[in-house]
Amino acid sequence: MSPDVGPARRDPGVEPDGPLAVASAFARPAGPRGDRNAAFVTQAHVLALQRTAGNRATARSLGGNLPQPPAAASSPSHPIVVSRQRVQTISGRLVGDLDGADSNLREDVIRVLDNLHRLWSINDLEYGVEYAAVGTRPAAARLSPADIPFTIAALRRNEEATLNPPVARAVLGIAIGANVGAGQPNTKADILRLQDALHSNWNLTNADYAAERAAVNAGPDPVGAPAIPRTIQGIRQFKVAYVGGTSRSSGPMGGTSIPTPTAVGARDDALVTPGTTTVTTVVGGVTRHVPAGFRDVVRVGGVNRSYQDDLRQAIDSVLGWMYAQGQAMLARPRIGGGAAGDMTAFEPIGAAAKESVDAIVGVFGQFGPPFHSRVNLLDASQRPTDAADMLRYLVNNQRELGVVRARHNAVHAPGRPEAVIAENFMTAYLSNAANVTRLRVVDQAWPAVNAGGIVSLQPFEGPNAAATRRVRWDAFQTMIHEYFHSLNHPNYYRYADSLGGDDRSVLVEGGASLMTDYVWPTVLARVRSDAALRTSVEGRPAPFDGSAIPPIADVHYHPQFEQATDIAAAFGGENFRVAFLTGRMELIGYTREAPATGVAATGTQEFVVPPRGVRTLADVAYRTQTPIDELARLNALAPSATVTRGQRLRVRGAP
Amino acid sequence: MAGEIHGWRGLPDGVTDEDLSAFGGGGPARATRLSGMTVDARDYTAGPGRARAFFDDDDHAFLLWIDDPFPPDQTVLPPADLGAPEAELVGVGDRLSGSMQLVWASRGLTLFVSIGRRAILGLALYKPTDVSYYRTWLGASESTPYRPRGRR
Repeated sequence: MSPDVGPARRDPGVEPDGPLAVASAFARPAGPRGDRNAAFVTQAHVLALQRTAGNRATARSLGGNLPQPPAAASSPSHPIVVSRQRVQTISGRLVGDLDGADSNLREDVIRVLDNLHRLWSINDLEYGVEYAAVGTRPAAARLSPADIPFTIAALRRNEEATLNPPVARAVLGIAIGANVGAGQPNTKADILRLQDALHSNWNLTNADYAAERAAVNAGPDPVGAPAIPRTIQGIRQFKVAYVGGTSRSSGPMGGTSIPTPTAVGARDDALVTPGTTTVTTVVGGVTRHVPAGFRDVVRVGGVNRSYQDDLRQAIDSVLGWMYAQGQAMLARPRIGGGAAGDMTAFEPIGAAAKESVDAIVGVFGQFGPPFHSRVNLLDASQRPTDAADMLRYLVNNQRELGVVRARHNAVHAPGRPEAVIAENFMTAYLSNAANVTRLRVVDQAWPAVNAGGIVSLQPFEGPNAAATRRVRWDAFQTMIHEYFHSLNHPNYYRYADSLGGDDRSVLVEGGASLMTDYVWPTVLARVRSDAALRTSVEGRPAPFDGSAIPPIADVHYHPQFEQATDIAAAFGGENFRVAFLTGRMELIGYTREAPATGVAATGTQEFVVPPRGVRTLADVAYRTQTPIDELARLNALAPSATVTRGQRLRVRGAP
Repeated sequence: MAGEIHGWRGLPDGVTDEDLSAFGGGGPARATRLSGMTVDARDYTAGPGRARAFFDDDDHAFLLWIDDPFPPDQTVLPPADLGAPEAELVGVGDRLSGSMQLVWASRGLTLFVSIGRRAILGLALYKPTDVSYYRTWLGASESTPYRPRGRR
C-alpha cells in the first residue's frame, strides 16, 4: 500500500510545467494568486543535494532560500482566518502538528502531500524536499511534527478559500475563467459553476445553496463576497476534505449514500442468526421469540437416540476421518523444507496477499503489517495442543455436530438441561486416554487457526503436487481474510464489541469475509495475468490453473458472510466498505453523534482510554472517528492534550 | 489453584515477562489484537493448560489469560466465598467455546465457566477495575479462534 517514493503523481493539467520539471516559488507558495516564479535551481538538483547532504545542509547551501512556514498575514482582500495546522484523514488519523501514537503515519503524510500538491497548496520545491525526506522513512513509520514543516505550512495555506482555474478543472471538474474565492474576481458565471460543484460535493447545504444562488442571480457581476459567505466557506471545506481523502469528488466517500430506515430494518433482520428454531408467543400484545424446547430422545435412522449418545456417535465419526487425515498430513514433508516452526516459505505468500489487498483498498487509508514467520505467521503443527478445547470447539462449532444439536432443539445456554448433558458427555469423553490422543492429533493437524491477527498454517505438502499447490492457494486466501482484520477500523470494532455476541461476529467475521469476497474477483483477475504474483504464491513459475485455486467461499465464515452480505445489500457495498475500513458506522445505520451538552455520555459516546496505544487526544480522534476539534470541545481539552489510561472521554457514538 | 482464587486481589503493578517465565515459555512478544487494540502478547504454559499475557507500553502485563488450568476430566467450580459476581456475561464473547464469564472486576478476576455446570474453563487476571473497563478493553468480547476448513 505504501505509495512509491519518487516522482510525484499529479493530475495532468494541474501543473502546466509538468511533473518534476522545474523548482520554483522559493519565497511564496504556489496558489491561485501567484504564478510560479522563474526557476533558478532545478528540483533534481535540490533532491540530489537533499539525499546526499540532508535537509539542513541543503537549506544552508540554498542560502536561506529554502521556504519557511509563512507567518499569518492579513490584508483587506485576504482576511485572517484561524488556519489549522493539521488535517484528519479518511481513517481519522491526523497529519500535522499534533503528536500521537497514530499521528503522522508515513503513508498518510505522503498521501496528504500529494493532495496538497494537486491543489497547489505546496510548491514544487517544498513538495519535492519533504516527499523525498518522508519517503526514506520505513513503511508505517510515525513521524514527528518537526519532521514535516513544509506539510504543516501547506496545511495552513490550504485553508485559504480560493481556487484557480487549473486546480478547479482538475480536482472539482469545473471550467472557470478566473480565480474564485476570498478576494478573487468572482465573476457571476464562475460562481454559479462553483456553487453547483460544491453543492453536489456536499460542501454546500441545500439551504445555503438555494439562498446564495438566488443572491448571485439577483446581484451584480462580479459577485461581492458578502453575498456568498457559505460558498466561500465551502471552498475551504472542499480543499480540507480533498487533502484528507474525504471529499466526495474523489475517493471512496463519493460512492456512499445516506441510509434509509428501511435499510436499518433490513440490517436488524440480517443480524438474526439463520436456522435458530424459535417459538413465537404473543402475551399482552407483546411478541416474543424463544428457543424451542429441548428433545432429549429423537428417532435417528429408525432408532431412538439420546442427545448424549447422538453427540458421542457424531464426535466418533468426525474424529475418525479427521484423525486419519491429520496423521497422514503430519507425516508429509514441509513446504520449503524448513525446520519445525519455520514459516519463511510462506512469507512471500503473505506478502502477495497484503500487496494484492492494498492495491485495491489502499485508498481507504488503512495499513496492516506484513506477515513474518514466528511473528504473526506460525506453524500450526507446533501449537500446544488442548484436547478439552478441541472437543468443546467440535461440539459447539463443527457442522456435523450442528446437525445433532438441531434435531434435538439443543441450545447450549444457561438454564438449559442440554448444556449440562453436553458437558457431562465431554467430561466422560475426555476421561478416555485414546480419545484424548485423537483429539490432540486433530488439534495439531487442524488446517489453519487464526486469532488476533496471528495466522497459524500447516506447512506440510499435500499428498500430491496438485494438492500442494492447493495448500499454497489456501494459505494465500486465508491470509487475505486475516489481513482484512488488521485493516478493520478500531471504531468499527468498538461498535461491534458494544453489540457483542452474534451481532459482533457478523460485523467482524462476516465483515472480513465480505471484504475478502469483494476483492477476490480483482485479485483472481490479477492472478491470471501476473506471473510474478503466481510465482510468489506457488514458489516457482507456473501457468495459471484455476483448478489449483479453491473457491474463495472456503475461507468465509458461514453464515456470518451471508448475513454481512445482506447488510451490505441494504446499505450499498460502498457504505459497508467505508464503515468497515474507516469506522463511519452511520453508513450502516448506527448512530454516530456527539453526546448532548449536559448529558452524561453513555454507550459508545463514552471512550475509556485503553491500557495501550493511546496517549493523546489525536489518538482518541482516530480510534473513535471523532473530529479532533469537536473532541477537544466536548472534553474541554486542547487538541494537543495527552490522556491517561482509564480516563473517560466524550466522543461521537451511540448513546 | 482453585484454593488461591478466592484470595485474588488483582494483578500487581510491574509484572514482567521475566516474572511470568516461571510458568515456562515467554520470550519475544508477538503483536496481536485484543479488543480492537494492537497489543504485544507472550505465551506461557500453566500446569495442564496454557497462559497468554498481554503487555502495555511499558512492557508490563496488564492481562493474563489462563486457559484449561485443571485436568480435563476434573470439574472445578468457582469457590463459593467469592460471592456473587459483579457481572455474568453470556453471549458476549466465546473465546473459550461453550463458556460464559463471571466477572469480579473489582478483584481483577474473571472466570470463564462452562454454561451448563459452571465448571472453570479459564481465568482472566488483571488489575482491579470496573465491569465497563473489563468489557471494553480486556478481551471480554473475543471470540473462539477461527478454524477454517475443518471438513472432510
